[in-house]
Amino acid sequence: MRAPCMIGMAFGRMAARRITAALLAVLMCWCLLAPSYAQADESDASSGNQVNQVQLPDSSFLYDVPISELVTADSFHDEQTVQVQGEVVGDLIADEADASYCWVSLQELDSQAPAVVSVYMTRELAKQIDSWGHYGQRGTTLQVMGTFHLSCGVHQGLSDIHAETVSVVESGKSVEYPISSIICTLAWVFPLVGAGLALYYRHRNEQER
Amino acid sequence: MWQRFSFDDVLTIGHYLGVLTSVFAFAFLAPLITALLCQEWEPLTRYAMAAGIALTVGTLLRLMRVSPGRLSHQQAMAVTGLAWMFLALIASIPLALSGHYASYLDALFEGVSGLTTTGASLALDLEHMAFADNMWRFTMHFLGGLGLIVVALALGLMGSSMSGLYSSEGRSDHVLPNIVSTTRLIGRIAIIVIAVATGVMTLFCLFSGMEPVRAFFNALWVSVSGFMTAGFTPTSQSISYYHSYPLELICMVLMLLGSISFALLVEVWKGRTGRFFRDIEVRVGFIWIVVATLVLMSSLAVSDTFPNLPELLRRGVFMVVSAMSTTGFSVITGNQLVTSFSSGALFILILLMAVGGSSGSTAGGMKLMRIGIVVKSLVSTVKETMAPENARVSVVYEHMGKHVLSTDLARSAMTVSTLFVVTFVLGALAGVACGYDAISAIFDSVSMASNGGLSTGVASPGMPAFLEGIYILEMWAGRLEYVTLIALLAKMVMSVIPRRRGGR
Repeated sequence: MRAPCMIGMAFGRMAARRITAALLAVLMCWCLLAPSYAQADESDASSGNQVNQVQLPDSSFLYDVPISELVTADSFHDEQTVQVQGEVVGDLIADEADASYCWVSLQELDSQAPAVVSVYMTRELAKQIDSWGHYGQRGTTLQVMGTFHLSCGVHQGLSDIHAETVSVVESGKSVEYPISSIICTLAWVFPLVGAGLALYYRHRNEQER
Repeated sequence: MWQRFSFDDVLTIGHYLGVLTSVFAFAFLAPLITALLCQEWEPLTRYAMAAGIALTVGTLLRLMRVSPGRLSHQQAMAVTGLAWMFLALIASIPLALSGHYASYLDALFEGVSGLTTTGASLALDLEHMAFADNMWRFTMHFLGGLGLIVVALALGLMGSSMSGLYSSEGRSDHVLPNIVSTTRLIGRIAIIVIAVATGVMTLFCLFSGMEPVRAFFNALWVSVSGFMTAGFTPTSQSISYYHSYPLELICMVLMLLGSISFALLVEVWKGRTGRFFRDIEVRVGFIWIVVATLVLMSSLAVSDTFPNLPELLRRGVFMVVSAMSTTGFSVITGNQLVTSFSSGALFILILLMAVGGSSGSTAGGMKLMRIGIVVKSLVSTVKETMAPENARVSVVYEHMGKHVLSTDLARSAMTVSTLFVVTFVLGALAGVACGYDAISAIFDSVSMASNGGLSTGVASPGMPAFLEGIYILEMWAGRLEYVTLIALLAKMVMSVIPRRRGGR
């Protein structure tokens, strides 16, 4: 009596396993072979979100670097896209070869020994500059993104940044240099004392002749 | 037996130092007038104070001995040797108070570099420096390039004590029979060349877009620095700031003119070009510059730094001329020197600075004349070895006339050359001891001792004070070409050491 029941139970377990395996197989096949559906907003189709078929792989990364690191480091940043912030100093120098381009010197901000780098940009971009840094004047602070060249092949081996985008961070302003009262006083005292001693020397010299 | 300075000597030396210091006070008129014209009131007070200090100190020194009499050769040597450092101490005062130097030592380094026409700078934020401060830096170059003693002699300040002073400053060429006439002619040549160069450079700066006032001052300062083979520039980017090939060409012409003996320049002016081309220094210099240029070009061509010949020539030739003339102008950054230039190319620049320009010019280094004399001496030695026993060998060289090479001249050339090399090595060791790599330490040591001015970054703000002191001594010694300075220091040391009993 027991043997037919056991055989029946075993058969039942096997069938259950087979049914379960078949269901799993169907489910896997459905997952692999069924088409995928993106939950996309229908409005994207009209927003210009299109894949650029001709875009080449871009291996450069954007490095936000202090100017001193560009000026003193080795070739790590060479030919890389960098972003720097600095004060415009000196003069706008016209490019020798292309009149639509110019050179701007960018000085590091907030440094005791600020480094300077040459930036090559279009005159259009340079029009944003409202002030050039020199004695008594702080120049426009710019943020420049472009390609850094340790020895630029276009510009006879010069170290430069070819600017792609330029934006103004802060406008220029005038700077006052306070006059020290001690130095101002000494500026009168020493010349007067010196002149007095010189007259005394002349008097002594004439006496000794 | 070592000679000592007596108290009488000290009073006389003090008097003549006082003469130089009092006259130096008038040199501050250049930055004073600049500050007035440009309405820079804060610098005006500093330079008025500095002029007053110079006049006061100078007059007090003169009062040590009111009627000093004629200078002996030993006293002249002391005046010359001490004048450079003494005046640098005073010249540094307004710079130290400007806020552009981290310490007085940095300002003193700038003062010594300016007066000795080395051109290495420790200035911070050059781009915001006042016109008055820049005018002072380049005034120091002008005075130092001509020679402090030369200026004093030209103004007739040193009385009848001329010959010893003139030769103590490393001057050997007598352009005219009379020393005062010679010094005045040197001054006139310098002023004419600088004036013409300033005019031409101002035009190029205007064409490149600079404002008229800035164009004029930049042109003036670069002209002074170029002809005096000095090296300061009003921006931290040196000559590359101007992005102008014509301006670079003018700078090269100025540097070459500055590295030629004044006496030879006068000969060319008078139409005696044959003497110019037969001169030993011109011949040695021409061969040397061609060989160095070819080797440097080959070394740079191997690397990808400059991908084509025109670029290679533009940067490479400029650096060769700048190094050979010991000017220190640069069209590449210090970073490029150590990353883009091979060690071979750096080695060539080191050799160029070490050899330097002509004697009797504003250039530094061992001088082409000494190299020529050493080579001639070698030729003479070989000839004597090959000649029969009873043969008399003489070697002739041409420098302002034909001369026979004497053993004294050969020994003097060898001695000074050896002293230069010893200084290069000691300065390099000091740099290495401070943690810098060997090539950079050697490069900057040679640059300081030969008053070159180029730097791989060792001579920069924040450098160790010990090394800064060593470089100051190197610049001072290099300007005086060692013998004067060593003799002065030896005599000063012996003067303070008490005599041993027995009189020895």
